[in-house]
Amino acid sequence: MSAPADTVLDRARQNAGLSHGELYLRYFELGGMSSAFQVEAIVYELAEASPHDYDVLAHALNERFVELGGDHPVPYASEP
Amino acid sequence: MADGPRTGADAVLMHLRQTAAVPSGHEVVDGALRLVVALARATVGGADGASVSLHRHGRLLTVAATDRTVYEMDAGQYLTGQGPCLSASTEGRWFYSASLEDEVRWPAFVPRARGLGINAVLSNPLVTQDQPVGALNLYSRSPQAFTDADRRLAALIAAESSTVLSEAGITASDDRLALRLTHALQARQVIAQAQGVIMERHGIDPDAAYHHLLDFSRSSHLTLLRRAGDVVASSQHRRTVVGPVPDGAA
Amino acid sequence: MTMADTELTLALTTQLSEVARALFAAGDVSSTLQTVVDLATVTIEGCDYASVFVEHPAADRRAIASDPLVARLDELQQRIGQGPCIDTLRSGQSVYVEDLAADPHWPQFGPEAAESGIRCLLVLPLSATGTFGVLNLAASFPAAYGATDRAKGVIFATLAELALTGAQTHEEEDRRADNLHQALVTRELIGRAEGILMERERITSTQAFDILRRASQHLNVKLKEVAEELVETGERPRTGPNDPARRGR
Repeated sequence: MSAPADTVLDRARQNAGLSHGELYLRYFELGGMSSAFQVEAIVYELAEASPHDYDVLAHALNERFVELGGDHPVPYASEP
Repeated sequence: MADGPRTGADAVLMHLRQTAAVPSGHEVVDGALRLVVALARATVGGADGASVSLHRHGRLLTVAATDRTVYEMDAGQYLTGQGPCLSASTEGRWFYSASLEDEVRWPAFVPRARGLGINAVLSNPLVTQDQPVGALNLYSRSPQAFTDADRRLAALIAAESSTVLSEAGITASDDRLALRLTHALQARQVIAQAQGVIMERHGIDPDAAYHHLLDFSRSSHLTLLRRAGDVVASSQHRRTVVGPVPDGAA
Repeated sequence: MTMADTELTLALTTQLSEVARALFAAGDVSSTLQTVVDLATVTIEGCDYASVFVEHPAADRRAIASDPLVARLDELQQRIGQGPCIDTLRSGQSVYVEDLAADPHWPQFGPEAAESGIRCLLVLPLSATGTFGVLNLAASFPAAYGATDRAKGVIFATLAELALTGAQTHEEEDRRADNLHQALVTRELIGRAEGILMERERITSTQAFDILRRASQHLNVKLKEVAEELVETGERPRTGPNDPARRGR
């Protein structure tokens, strides 16, 4: 299978040093309702995320960035 | 601070271990299946290529193949919704096409296969717990490629592979289980939200809120989830008294 | 393929799937290695003793042997820094030594090994996720392994690799299951916090999540901490400097 395209969320995931499984766990903990398979598809932009789902993912990534000493670099869907 | 209900949690956890909700050891099974296709290709006379397809995530995927052409053969079947591999993996019996030139079944699939240089196809189902979970497929560039002995051998390799899959815990219900689990997890979240609604409405703690839900669902013969859903919906409107006020509430 | 070949292949296939079955059932890494060693002497004719060791950068070296005799062989190679296992570990290539007494490759190891009772060695590389190691099949007689045995050895080693990967996955999954349990507890806490906000402010769960999320950003604390605070105290979390005043409980 060819390598997936470079996407915003996947780049963020890699910069945050999270595997897909680790990202899913954080998303799940925040109340995310989609399956791991769907989340991976969203990260690779192979599936559309609802704005809420996107925000849960974005926040999962941002909390990780804060752990690493950063701020909240991933923008939210519900931000103006 | 009291936890929410724990009874379902351990069962959910155990199932999650085995399903697509948490990435799990597919690599191991895929590795074993690569061995299977290599063995099949090497030992079944007449076989130019071999592949294994499995039902995963609600669709049929090629998890092992001896070469690119074979991947495309499988992909062609998934795309057209037709082919011996697809038939074997859904009907749970073998399908053999000795000569694609003369084949009348699978009219959408046959031209694509012949375009790739394939002239004979043999597919054996992979079965666990009496349910087909996929297929072992053998392809040949020549028609009439597989003798009776070849076909018996292929069937036997498929049977042994089915055993390996069983041992690795792959069942047809895994996919459906993953779906049921996703629903179960969603349900738990609605119940947690309903707990919060009741905690706020009646000024009680999480455990008491849970029992309130439970009691009302029992007395009204609604499922817990249905009751929770109603409670959550009621939070959106002007407050109406929904259900009996619990003892000890403010 | 002749009839005899077919029967041989069938027998081989059946035997190998039994081996696969046992290997996959083994469980953790140590049990799996033990099963590899136990099965090797039974599955491969001519193999009198077997040993296996694996190395992982993050974990200790694990070594299992079916007999002290072959364990000593491993120690010997470590001590003198010479031997077929060392070569295989370095190169990733398998090595077949027909007669240790007569092989010029290991002038020190060869004779010492032969002296201790091992004349023939088939050494196969093992690699699983991030792990490298060696499967050692030893025999008391020279030229103990025919072509079929050597082929079986290769397939056996492949199955061992797969089983090892599975065992590593098992151990990871146990850790993951613990994480998941904790995540489930937190997730439901967040759900309850959402429910409180939904009832109090007549909003949807998505809007409730947004409030928790904005508070988490503004206060620079984890969302679960915001949720916990709300559930425990009932106080509405602040989402920013211009957060409109809301009546708490």
